[in-house]
Amino acid sequence: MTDAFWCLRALLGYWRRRPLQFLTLFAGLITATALWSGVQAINSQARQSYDKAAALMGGDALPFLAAIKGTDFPDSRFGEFRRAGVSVSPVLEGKIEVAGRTLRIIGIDPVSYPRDQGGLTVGETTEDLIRFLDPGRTLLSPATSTLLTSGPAPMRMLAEHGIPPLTIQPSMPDDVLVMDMFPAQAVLERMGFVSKLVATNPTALAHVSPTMLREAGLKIVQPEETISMDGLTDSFHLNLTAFGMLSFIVGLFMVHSATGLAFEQRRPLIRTLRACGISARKLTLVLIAELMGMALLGGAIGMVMGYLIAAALLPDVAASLRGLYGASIGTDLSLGPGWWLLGLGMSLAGALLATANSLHKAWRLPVLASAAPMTWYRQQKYWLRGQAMASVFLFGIAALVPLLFNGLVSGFVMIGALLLGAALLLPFVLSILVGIAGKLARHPLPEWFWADSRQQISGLSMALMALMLALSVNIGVGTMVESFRLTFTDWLESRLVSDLYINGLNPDQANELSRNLGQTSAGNALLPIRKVDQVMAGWPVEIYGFQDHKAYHDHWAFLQATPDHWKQVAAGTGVLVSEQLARRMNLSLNDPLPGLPGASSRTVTISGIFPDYGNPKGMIMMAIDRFDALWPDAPADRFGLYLDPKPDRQGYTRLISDITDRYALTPDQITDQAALKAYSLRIFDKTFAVTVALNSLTLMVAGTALLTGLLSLSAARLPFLAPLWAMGVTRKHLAFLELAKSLSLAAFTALFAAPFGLLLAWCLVAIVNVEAFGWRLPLHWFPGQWLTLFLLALLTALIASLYPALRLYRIRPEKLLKVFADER
Amino acid sequence: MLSVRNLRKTFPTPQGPLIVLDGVNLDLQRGDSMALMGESGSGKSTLLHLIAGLDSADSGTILIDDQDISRFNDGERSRLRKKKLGLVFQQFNLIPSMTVADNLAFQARLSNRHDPDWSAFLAESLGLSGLLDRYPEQLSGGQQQRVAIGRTLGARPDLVLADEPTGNLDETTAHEVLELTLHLIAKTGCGLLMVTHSSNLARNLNHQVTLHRGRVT
Repeated sequence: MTDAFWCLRALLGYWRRRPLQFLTLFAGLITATALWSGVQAINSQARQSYDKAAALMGGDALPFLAAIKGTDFPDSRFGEFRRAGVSVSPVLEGKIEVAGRTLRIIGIDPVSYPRDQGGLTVGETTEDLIRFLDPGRTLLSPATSTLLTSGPAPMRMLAEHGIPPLTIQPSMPDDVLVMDMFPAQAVLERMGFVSKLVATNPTALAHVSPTMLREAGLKIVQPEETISMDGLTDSFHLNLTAFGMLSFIVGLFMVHSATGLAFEQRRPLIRTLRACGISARKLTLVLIAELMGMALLGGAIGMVMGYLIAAALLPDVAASLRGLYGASIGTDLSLGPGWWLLGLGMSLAGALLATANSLHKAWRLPVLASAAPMTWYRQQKYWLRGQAMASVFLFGIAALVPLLFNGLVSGFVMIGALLLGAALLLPFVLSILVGIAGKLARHPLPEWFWADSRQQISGLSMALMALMLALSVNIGVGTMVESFRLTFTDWLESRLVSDLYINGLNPDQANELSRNLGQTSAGNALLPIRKVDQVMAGWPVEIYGFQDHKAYHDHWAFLQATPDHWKQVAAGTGVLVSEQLARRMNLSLNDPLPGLPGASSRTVTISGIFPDYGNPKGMIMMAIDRFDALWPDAPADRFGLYLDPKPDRQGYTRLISDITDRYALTPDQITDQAALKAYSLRIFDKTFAVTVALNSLTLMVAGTALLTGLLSLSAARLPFLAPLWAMGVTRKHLAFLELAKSLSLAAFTALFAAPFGLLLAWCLVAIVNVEAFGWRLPLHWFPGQWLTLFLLALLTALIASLYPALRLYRIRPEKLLKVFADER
Repeated sequence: MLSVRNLRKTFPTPQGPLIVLDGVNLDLQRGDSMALMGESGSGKSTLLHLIAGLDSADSGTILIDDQDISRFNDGERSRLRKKKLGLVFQQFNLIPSMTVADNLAFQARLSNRHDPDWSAFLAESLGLSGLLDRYPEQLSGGQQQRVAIGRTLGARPDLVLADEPTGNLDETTAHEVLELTLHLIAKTGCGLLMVTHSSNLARNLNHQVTLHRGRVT
């Protein structure tokens, strides 16, 4: 062990003398771990929240009875089934809006609810039970409690809704309020109704007779048939993981670059150690121990940074998930030891992977091999060809994967292979470009400039590859997001048919309002809207009933439609379906729509397929008469108000104020189109806030890689620069040339990255989005964005190379002289 | 203690195998010193590397204390270098991140034979006492080579193999370093096999052997 200790000490001394190189290695380890573990922390937090929500009331383990039509049903069914010996417990579910937040209300029966399931505890004693019933208690998570008690406005709204006193229960998921059935029915205005009857044990529904179910209009729903939030949000989390993986790879590039350089510069030391009697095996083990120590330390710091990144991004991610999927995730990070162990394991495995080549060389290094450290750069030239061949192989994979496999993972594999192939090809292409530039040069200094740039490519290749990856991802994701924004804005124009949307009007009020509007202008119309949520093919689907009107004819955009689609829909023989539903259920125009309750007697066919960007659920539009026949109990209090001619802004405000006062509506029950558009765009921006942040982070990481790469190479550059200085080129001129070299390499890299970025955008739009969300966007080009990124790449290179250039500018002549002294 | 018999070594070249050593025989006793001379490419360094276990011969035997090291694996050769041999190179190969004191004690510590008194004696004898806290880059070439010799002798090897140890030094310094080396080697009683181009330096050693085209002449 003594010799291992002294060997390790000698090896570690190298880093003490080269702090910048050590910084590169550490920055790589931290970068690799930080964003990856940050993303995993967010995913893990989300998964915990989904699990908590799913486990509530045994939702992930117990079957339940639900109405065949998917609506609430009378609570008298509970008594009927209990009397028949079926052990079930009633549950009512619904949503309310409090302070701009959607809260899920769950009403339970505290006497019969399944106690052993879901971490819900009404209380252990009879006193607890009595308190739950009267004066009543509302169980909620600590975070939800903090949100609701944070100001007078939410508290007032809770009181208006008649929510019983709040009681914190740590096992509760966020944004969920559990209370007794009676107050829940009052809060949700569903007196006498329940949403489902949950079995109190897994076998409680095993012997329920089909006749009884049919007569009650109920069906048994097994736990696996319920909508899994995990499945719904898979694409979102996979997207985050892809970003984390990208950063992990960039970090490993930095580690590989730093350890590769360190190995070459430590060749003489390794040779000495071997000559002093350290065996190849022991030396390799000591090198591994050294690496593992650093990986553990760098990994631990990376984990802490990952935690901080996750904590900073989590509110935006939570907002995105709420906006996109209606999923609630806690914003207070709680991470278990598994997360720490996995993160450190990734750091260790990544470090080993990134240094495998160097370790292998150390193991196989002939003791008598040349100890010249610069051999590495020369040897790297041979690697360029190898890398180019590997990139061709990866491009082959990228081309074949979508032909052979389907699914989101294959989309990401394709993108990964494409980007990695492009990154590997970059040094080869740069070498050719710089070589051509060198051949075109006509004076000695430009000739030297390009020849030296070519030699420097191998030393900077990892950093340039990181820059190329970051730029491609920025161009690709940026193009996709901007295309989405443009399409989304146009689509909102076509989708928001009515000028105002009103909730909560009773039939008499609706009739009166309709009459009044008709008197004001014949073009005005109050358009009823019905809605139920259903599950079709294991997927949540929103079914809307609407009244045929020219407003829809004029605005509604289609991807495909039959020639007389509006007529078919109005006649009740046709329906309109969203693109994602059509893709998911493999439906085309004129196909019958399967799975519609009660529709078996009359065939309903697809008359049109419309885009429905950003909606994670499927959507069906049908004539209101047809809808009412299928779901007579569905709420009929929602309306769109179409105005023709359009009033000015003041006219809108006056109309909203009149309707609100006349029908005693609260402000949140009436929304105008402009506010809805602004809200939708806000949700859109929130959704992509995380993507934009991750985009910027990857560019920063690439900049760091370039800076650390240049810094660690700067000392090795002196033997190349000192002869020029000796020949009369000033230090200032040399510093300028170094700066120009970095900028030209960055410019070539950016030009190379652009087509791959656009290819990435196409992959995201044509493959990943379709697989993940079920809709395909039209792709738009944004040359302004490319120019910005090109300039940003130059700026990144300028910032990264400024300090090394300044150091060269200020270098003492004796340091340059020392180069010649060392050569003696 | 060292016996080389019929040693043969070739290197592959595009023109066919290049014979570097062709049946070399050599003997060296403990306390003896031998200069290995010959023109460039005559095989001197190769012979030294084979004896040090840094490379393998095609055929022949190398016996050190009656053990045939040509049959040793890498671990056994490493142990041999650590316990019995000391190597000095033309490039001093000091560890730049360690002080002179640490460099001097380095090999002794590796072989678990560190003796602070012996280390201090070596530093004193080599004129390094005042430089113990310095780093190699702060020393002259002659001083660096003295540290390298001190490092080798610090572990009290049985045989010192030196590959042109004074090749990087001027003539006066070279003589000084060699005298010191021979003095200390006599003190430890180990053997010395030294490759050199200089017949002046070679005359200071007990035996002189010349290699020509891979053969002892």
